[in-house]
Amino acid sequence: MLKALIWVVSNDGRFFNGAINILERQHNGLELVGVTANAPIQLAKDGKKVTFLPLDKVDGGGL
Amino acid sequence: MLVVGAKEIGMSRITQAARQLRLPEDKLLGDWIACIPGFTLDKYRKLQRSRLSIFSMNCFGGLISNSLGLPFRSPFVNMFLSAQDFVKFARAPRVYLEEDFEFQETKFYHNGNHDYPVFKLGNVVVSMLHYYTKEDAFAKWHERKARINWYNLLAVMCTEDEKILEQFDALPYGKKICFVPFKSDLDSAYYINRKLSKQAAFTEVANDFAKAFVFYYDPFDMLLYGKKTPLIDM
Repeated sequence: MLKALIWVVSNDGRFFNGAINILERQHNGLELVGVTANAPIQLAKDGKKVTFLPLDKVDGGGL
Repeated sequence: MLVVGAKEIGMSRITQAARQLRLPEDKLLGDWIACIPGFTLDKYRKLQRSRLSIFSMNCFGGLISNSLGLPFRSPFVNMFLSAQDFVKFARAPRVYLEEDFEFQETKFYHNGNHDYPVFKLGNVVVSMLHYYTKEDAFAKWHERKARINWYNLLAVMCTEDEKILEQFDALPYGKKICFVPFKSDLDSAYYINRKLSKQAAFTEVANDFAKAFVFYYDPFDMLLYGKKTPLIDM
């Protein structure tokens, strides 16, 4: 069983479900111990801030 | 710590932020990395801890480092040498890296629509294609040169010339990769069937692999062990 803390740094949820599924399968289970985010991290490459959305609104699903 | 949404931001900025926030950098895993074919957490952690330096003929080294969330531990990033010059360099890297990195001229990069500086390093030419000024290219070259881990090197190039492949294969590197569009029994030859790609230039066929658009070989086995594990039937 693998324990993981989720750190959300942008709204790009393309790989979230895939990563969770793969880690869960490879470690016979995945325990998500928490979710965190840091809004100042969410800068796009051009330096503009990306509006932060709560995790349950990120494409790719929630916990 | 599974980092969600970092692919476009890049792991270097995430790692810097983690450092400032006093989060454990060695526990970070970009979510897109777990989705790369061949990924296991064990191999990835080994790769992170191995502090790999990649000597690359062109952008491949920087691109695959980005794709796997690895820091740049060599100056061979965002630049290119000719295949012949790269083999010359790879024969005596410590000697070449002691040479002065001398600005020679400015050329124009049509695809990027900007000038780029060209340097001489001994008797090889290094084109710093994705740098806008010679000052920036010079600074980055030296900054990244200082990070080379001489105990874990990977040499990587591509060529369509069998003679250059043979010269490269004879080099004494524990891990060496030469992408070629023809089948070869040589250990360092990594065949890519160019019919699988729409790219005109073979270097771009190989770079598509580095950019994680397509995976011809297991990238973790390649970088960690120099091992050829095909992922698709070519």
